[in-house]
Amino acid sequence: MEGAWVALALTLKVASCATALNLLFGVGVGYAMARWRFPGRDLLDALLTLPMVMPPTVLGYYLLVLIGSRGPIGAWLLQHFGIRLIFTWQAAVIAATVVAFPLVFKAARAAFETVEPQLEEAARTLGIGEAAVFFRVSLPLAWRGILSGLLLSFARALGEFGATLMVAGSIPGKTQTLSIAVYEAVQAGQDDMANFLVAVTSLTCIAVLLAAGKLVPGRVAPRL
Amino acid sequence: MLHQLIRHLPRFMGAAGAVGALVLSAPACAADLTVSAAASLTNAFRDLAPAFEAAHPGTKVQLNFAASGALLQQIAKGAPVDVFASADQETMDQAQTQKLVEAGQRRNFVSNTLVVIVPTGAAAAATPKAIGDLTQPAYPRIAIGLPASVPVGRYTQSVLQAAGLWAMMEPKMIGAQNVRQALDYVARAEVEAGFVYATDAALMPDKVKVALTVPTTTPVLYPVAPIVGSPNAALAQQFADYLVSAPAQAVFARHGFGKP
Amino acid sequence: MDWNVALTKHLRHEDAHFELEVAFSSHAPRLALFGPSGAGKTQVIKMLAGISRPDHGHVRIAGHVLFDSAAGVNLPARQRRLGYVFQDYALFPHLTVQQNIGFALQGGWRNPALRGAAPPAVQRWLDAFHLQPVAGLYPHQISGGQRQRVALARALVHEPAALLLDEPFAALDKALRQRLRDELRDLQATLRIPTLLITHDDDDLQALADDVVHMSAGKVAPAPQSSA
Repeated sequence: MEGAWVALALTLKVASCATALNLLFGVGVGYAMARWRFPGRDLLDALLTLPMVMPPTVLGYYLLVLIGSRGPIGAWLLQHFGIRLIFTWQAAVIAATVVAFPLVFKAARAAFETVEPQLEEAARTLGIGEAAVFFRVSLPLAWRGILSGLLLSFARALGEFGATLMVAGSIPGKTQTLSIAVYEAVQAGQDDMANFLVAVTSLTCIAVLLAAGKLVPGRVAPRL
Repeated sequence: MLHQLIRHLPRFMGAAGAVGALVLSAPACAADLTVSAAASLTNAFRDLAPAFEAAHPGTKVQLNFAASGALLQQIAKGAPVDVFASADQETMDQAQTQKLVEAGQRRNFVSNTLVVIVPTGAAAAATPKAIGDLTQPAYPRIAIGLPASVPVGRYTQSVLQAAGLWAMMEPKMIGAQNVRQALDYVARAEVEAGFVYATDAALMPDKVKVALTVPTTTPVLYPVAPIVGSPNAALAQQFADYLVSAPAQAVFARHGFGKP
Repeated sequence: MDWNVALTKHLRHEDAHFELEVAFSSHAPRLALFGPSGAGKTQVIKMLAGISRPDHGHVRIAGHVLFDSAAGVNLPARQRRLGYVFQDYALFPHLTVQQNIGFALQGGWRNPALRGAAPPAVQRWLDAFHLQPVAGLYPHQISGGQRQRVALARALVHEPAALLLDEPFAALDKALRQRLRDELRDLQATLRIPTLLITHDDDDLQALADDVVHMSAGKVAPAPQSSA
């Protein structure tokens, strides 16, 4: 059953990295979309939400075509850096990040839209720069909404299967996440292993939910 | 809005019922024959099914392809399969042990060859001339079917173990869920080499080329058997018989399979 | 004290259009923008503060050019050194009274400390406005009058060159309004800080302004005939 712990550690690593990336991109893009109007904003929003509604295998295929050795991005990486992404845990992170991105992005955008622009204006008149306005006013007030998006993103990344299988394959210790391990154990008729993996996965999900309950603060200064 | 929904409820129910009836009413058939076959048989079986249907009017052949091990699990867990064709004896042995097939009803219907393929553009230095070449650094990634559930992986593993190369090559192995996925990995040049059947390699001559033919420790023989307890037992047997008939064998030969 | 303002802006909200065209100048240290709701007074004050950008024009306050479309000058809000008191105060709900007041004094990306002694400049205003008892409370926990004072203190703490007030007493009841009006008048006298006040209240004009600019429908209107 040692393979199960390896798969668990790998799954947590991939999900954490994916969530960290989505924190960066999802919050950044969410803020931009909440604050700036530009022609085509709605279309861009729809495109950015697409990974949430697309079947993971379709998404996985697009990623494979893009970052594979012969794809536009993959070939460039191979040529200039000697990097091959397919079958690496980094590819698993990319798959999980893309799949879970809309969850953070939409939550962040909605959260920033509830922050009164007037508060940001007040901060500006008080002499602080744009970055400070973001970190001192916008982000603290939007944080709760963003956090719930992040937790959803983490949970989604934990369970990601279709896209991951396509670009990262299934290599024990490197890319075989819990969901893939369960799939293969069932295929191979290893019911004991499958049961154990399912138990480990379920306990992990419960732990995540409990942690989520503790992390999202119960009280924060309500709006004036 | 809810009260509007309730007011129109009878109309909704009628519409839902009509849609349901449409969905549930499949065209009436004399019988549906469900055949689970190893992934490497995909193209050949797709060619054979219409001929079988023509010879047995009113029959519809439902084909289900995956790695033999995966198919076995489905059957073991109760999937309503009538005929099972696997790519190696071991999977069928497991089926027999689990009383899913009867010894007397199983027979071999084709044979195949194990080959090593490389992407078409591979340089001479990246094309192995012997199995041992694969241990070189020129081949950092090698596609192989997962031995736990994919016959081609098992054939590969026993060959490499017999040659004393398995331990050295195992870290380079990229496991595929079935032989077609191994083929795809090579076709995309995500791996430097892969172990597939000759029949699979023949499907993508523009993307992969055969570097080596590998003699296996046991012959690559595909067995077929009707599933015990199938409601279409007679039809299932007829299908199994059909596979060894001359016309079917000609189709198999066209796809590159050998005689059983 | 010189106020020299000329602004035009075309505003569009959904299907409604609004043309703002305002020009005024005054030497009065205490100026008021007076007019009915919808006249565009808040829009003007936002353009003075640098929160909103005029299409054309110039803004000169106390000799400083804050905006000049012809010369390509547009100082960002944070550099204009103006104190702005919003109509509904715009206090930061996630910060205490003390943190709100000290907001402008803190550089960087972190907010003023939650606990601990207030910096001297903040303490001065806590004392002046009798806010010490509520220094550690949040905006939603204090009264309307206290919020108004916090907003004022916050705007004044970084010693701005001028103070902009948008209907500062609008949300308060009459008695409170009277009291705070007197306080503000005294503050104006003590600090000698130039103020521009938006109001539609005559009593505010009497107490807090030396000169008035009347506005109506986006334009400066002539002063109405004074009643007997």
